[in-house]
Amino acid sequence: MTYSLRIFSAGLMAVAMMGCTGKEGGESEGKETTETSAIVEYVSTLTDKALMDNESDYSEIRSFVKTLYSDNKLPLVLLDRTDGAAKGKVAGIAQDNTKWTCFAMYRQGGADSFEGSSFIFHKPTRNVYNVACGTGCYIAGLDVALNGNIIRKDPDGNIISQKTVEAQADIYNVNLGTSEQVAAFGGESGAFRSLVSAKKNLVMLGTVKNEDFETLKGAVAAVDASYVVSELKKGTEYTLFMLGSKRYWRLNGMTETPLSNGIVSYSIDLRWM
Amino acid sequence: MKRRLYSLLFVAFLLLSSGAGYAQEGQLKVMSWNVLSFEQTDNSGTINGFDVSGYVEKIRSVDPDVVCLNEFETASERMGKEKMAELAAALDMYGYFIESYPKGTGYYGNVILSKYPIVASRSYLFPYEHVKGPGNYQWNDGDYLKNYGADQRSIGCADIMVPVSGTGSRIIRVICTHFDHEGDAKVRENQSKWAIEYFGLDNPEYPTLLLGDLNTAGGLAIDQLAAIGNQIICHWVDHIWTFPKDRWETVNGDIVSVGKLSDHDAIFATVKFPNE
Repeated sequence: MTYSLRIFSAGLMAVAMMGCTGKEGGESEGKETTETSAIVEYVSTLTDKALMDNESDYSEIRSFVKTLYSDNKLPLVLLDRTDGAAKGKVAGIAQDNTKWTCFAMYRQGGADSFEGSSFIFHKPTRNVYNVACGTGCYIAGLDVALNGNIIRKDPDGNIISQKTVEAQADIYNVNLGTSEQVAAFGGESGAFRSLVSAKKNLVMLGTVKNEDFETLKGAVAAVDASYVVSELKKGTEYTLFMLGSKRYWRLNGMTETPLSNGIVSYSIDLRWM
Repeated sequence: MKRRLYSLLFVAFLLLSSGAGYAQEGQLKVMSWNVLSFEQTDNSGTINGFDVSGYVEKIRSVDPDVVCLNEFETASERMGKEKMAELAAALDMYGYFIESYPKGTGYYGNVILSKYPIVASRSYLFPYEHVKGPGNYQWNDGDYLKNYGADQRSIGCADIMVPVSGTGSRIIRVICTHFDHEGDAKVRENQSKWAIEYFGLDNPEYPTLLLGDLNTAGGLAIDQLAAIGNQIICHWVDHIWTFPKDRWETVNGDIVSVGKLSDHDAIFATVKFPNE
């Protein structure tokens, strides 16, 4: 059975739904604990190379996504750098799996060339957001039904019960390719400030040039110290990061599935609080 | 879905040149089509598995930049596939689904397809009450039918990044909707009023097009739109409008005969959007 909730102080709801007296968070010894888990698969080369720019890569990613959805766990999938030329391919992947998709535009690369990523999700969404972040840079956000689990464990860490829930969440994505864009992201009048003013419980998964990662961390902390930028993976050009308030989001962990040609699927296990 | 008979075929085709001072190179070709849930007028959709190839070919023959599709059923038991993705893959376009209500395993509503990136989108359900209470979306009856319409209707927009140069783009907002067909005229008047309110059509944030089956060709529902925008083409009850008023220029527009594919012909228009 699937339950629905809105991620915003969802931990309280989680405990209530489990009928549990244990402490939320999974860190208290000698007591039952309750954990939450939702998976985002982030498929990327962590470079500026467009994904699926040849039939071989497309075929492999298409097959991989089909496998992801075959067990009905319904992860949110983000295909990094599915630049405009791949729009039909992304639609084909959505069609394979009876899923929905939207394009997260990063920038215009030419007269008819748009760089960005694609979200794939399991229910239609009403809202897709877009916020400018410096010259030629956009942040995309999605109000999406995120499939997850609420897991109740005994003091020894054994699972007592597990419930599938569907949580409505605001997930954002950005690709910060220059230090100017990082500067435009932070700051009192920057894009991040306006974002968190409107959506305090947002979580962002994105990429930033390796050399700008520390600057990004500092910029976010300067705007609001309750938000944390965590490094998930440093690639050859870009660092995959997670940004969110500790009050609402934490990282359970991440696993990697290597595909060919430097493509890796990062399975990001998110915990909502 | 069959509708009540309206008046005989009504075509109002206005070639507007009033915005000549604002005419710019950037232009869009847009198409609006009520696809009758891919049933086809002889219900052959039920025989051929709601095959969309004929619809793909018809859209491809017009070669629009943006398409609004009404009466769009997808991923339900009888449809099987998610039809928006199927169309988008075949036409190499981006898609946005505007949900009106769930239908079995799938959904029913409207769709926007675009050659150019959809950078933001949002949709609304028109206020609606059903005689049987919440959770019911179709086959309304009695006073509820008169006051709220036959079924739950929706409206949505896609903000589309239209390239105007090698490095520059303009955001053009395309609204796609389907007004009620069986309630009193007041239902459509309200839906027209809400469309104006939801998207600020009297002072739009971006140059805006409104496309779709409004289930009327006249009356207050249309007058409200005409006060603040331009009707570029209306064929029977299918419309293409531009906002703000007198700021767009019409290049061409016409009706597309669709044979048995639907009980509505498609319409298209090429319009130049204002520079600022």
